[in-house]
Amino acid sequence: MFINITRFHSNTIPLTAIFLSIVFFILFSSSIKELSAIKTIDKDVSVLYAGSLINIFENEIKLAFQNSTGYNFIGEGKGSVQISNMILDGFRKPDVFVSADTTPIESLMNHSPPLANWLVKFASAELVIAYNPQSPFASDLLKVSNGEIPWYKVLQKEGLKFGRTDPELDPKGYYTIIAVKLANIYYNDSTIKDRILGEDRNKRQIFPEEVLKSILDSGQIDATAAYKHEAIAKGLPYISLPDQINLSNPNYTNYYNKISYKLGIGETIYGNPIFFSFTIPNTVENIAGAMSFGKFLLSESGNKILEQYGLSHIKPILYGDDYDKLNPEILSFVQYYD
Amino acid sequence: MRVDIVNFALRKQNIIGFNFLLSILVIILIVYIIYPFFGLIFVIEPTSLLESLKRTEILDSVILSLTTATISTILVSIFGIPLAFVLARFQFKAKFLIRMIVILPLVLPPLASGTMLLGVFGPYSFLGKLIPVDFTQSVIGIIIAQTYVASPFLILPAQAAFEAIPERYEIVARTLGKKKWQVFFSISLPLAKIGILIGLLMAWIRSIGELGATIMMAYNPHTISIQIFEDSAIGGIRNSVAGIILVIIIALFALTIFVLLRRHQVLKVGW
Repeated sequence: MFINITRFHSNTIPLTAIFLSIVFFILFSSSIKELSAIKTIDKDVSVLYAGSLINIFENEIKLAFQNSTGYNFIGEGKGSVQISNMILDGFRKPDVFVSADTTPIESLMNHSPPLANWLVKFASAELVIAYNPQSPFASDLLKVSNGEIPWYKVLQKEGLKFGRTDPELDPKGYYTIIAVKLANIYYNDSTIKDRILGEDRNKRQIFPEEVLKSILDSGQIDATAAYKHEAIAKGLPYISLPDQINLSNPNYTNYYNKISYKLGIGETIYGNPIFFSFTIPNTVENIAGAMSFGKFLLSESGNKILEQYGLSHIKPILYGDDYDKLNPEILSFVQYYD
Repeated sequence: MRVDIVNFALRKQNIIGFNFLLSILVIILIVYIIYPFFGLIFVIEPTSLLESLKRTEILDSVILSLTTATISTILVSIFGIPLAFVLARFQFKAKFLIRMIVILPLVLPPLASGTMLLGVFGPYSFLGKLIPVDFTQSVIGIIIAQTYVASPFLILPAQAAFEAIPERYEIVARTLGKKKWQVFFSISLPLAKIGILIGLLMAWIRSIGELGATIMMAYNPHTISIQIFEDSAIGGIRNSVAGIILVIIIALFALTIFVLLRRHQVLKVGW
């Protein structure tokens, strides 16, 4: 069954071209609705959020928000520090910025001119060690859960590959360093941080947040620093750390304050309980949509979803001043939580 | 090629001949390329895969990729084919420089291209402030990114195709009274057709596979590459298999067309 090429050619190529044109025309017209970018689409709310929330936001919050308000959720997850930098550089103009920790939003507030004027803390997070149940070290890590071995002894073991995010891009990155340094104090052993993490930006351990799940699955790393809600969302077994280290308990704020990390851009971050916060930056384009999302996040339904994943609900706390510069609608929204 | 034991024994021929070495190298590379596809088999669970394939975001992103790649390819061809013709037929001092510029998007890492594009098309850039259009985080942003990185994939083969046409055909047509544009459309373009079509196909498939520049210029709405990226961030390889399979299907489709074009080219042009 050999195809006669010459006869094949004279009719088929034009016909194929016509066929393809028809196919593409159909595809084209079916996506026309997405092609109008000329005017700002009022139904879209663009939300830049901390990467650790990706499962929760894309799988649950997005649908719940869209169903209850009719707005479209246009989301992008990245390291919070990276998001803050992108907003400062003018590369992104989100309607809402949901950040791990408050520092990335504070960078926007401290900028002149300020790109944000307030933030609301809405949930507290806890640092844990998540691991791959198929790792050769999984049985050791299980023993940690049973209290048989201390976690920091297992993480120091020869051959265990540990992964974490970049402290320059991601609050989880710098909080991991701070937490492990707190372990030095708590366990009275000044070698723990060096043995587990090595240097702050240890190239062998640092990965972009987006690939952490894949490299954990494929065995390139055995364990990773993660938020409790991340581990739950991604279905990973995890080890809890003592409250004095896991940056989740406001009662230990003074203890956490003992350690700091200095960012490349100059800011010094002190250990503090980790709060997830959000703001509507001054770059907002869809004000009504942004406020709708903010309200949803703080509502019963929003809280229920977050709690499901282990993000502890806290009474919303507002930070900020200079309210006179705010858009009046946002002002009334913000003052509700004051 | 056979390894001829008898000849080897008679000292007439080495076992490790030149052909043998070539074959080894070829086999290693081919296996290297095919091997990852076998790895997919272990990650596929038929029921969850079928579920995944039905997700609206997957289908939407495939349609978006196909559409934007087509538009980008058309844009590249409108400007790129004339440019290729100029580079093939005209001599001028700046030719070397222009050729370097054409190759630039090819050598730049896509993330670098994307960042630079974001700098000049972003909301705070000159163009961004002047024209009330969303150049970034929109379908237009996707097209800008794809057009930028895919342009060399059309221009270089198109230029080669034009250069392969003996100039005397065009000269004869001119002496017979045809105007320059008539010569272009009735002689040059048809004779270069296959090479140009291959270039269009390359530009198209490059646009489908584009990720780095698109991540910067337009993370939303999701192209299939970005959807795969996000799916893998959410749930690792298992979660992104559906998207990967779909791109493979698209690639096979492009491959079929490529093979047909090449056979036609060999037949018609002889190489």
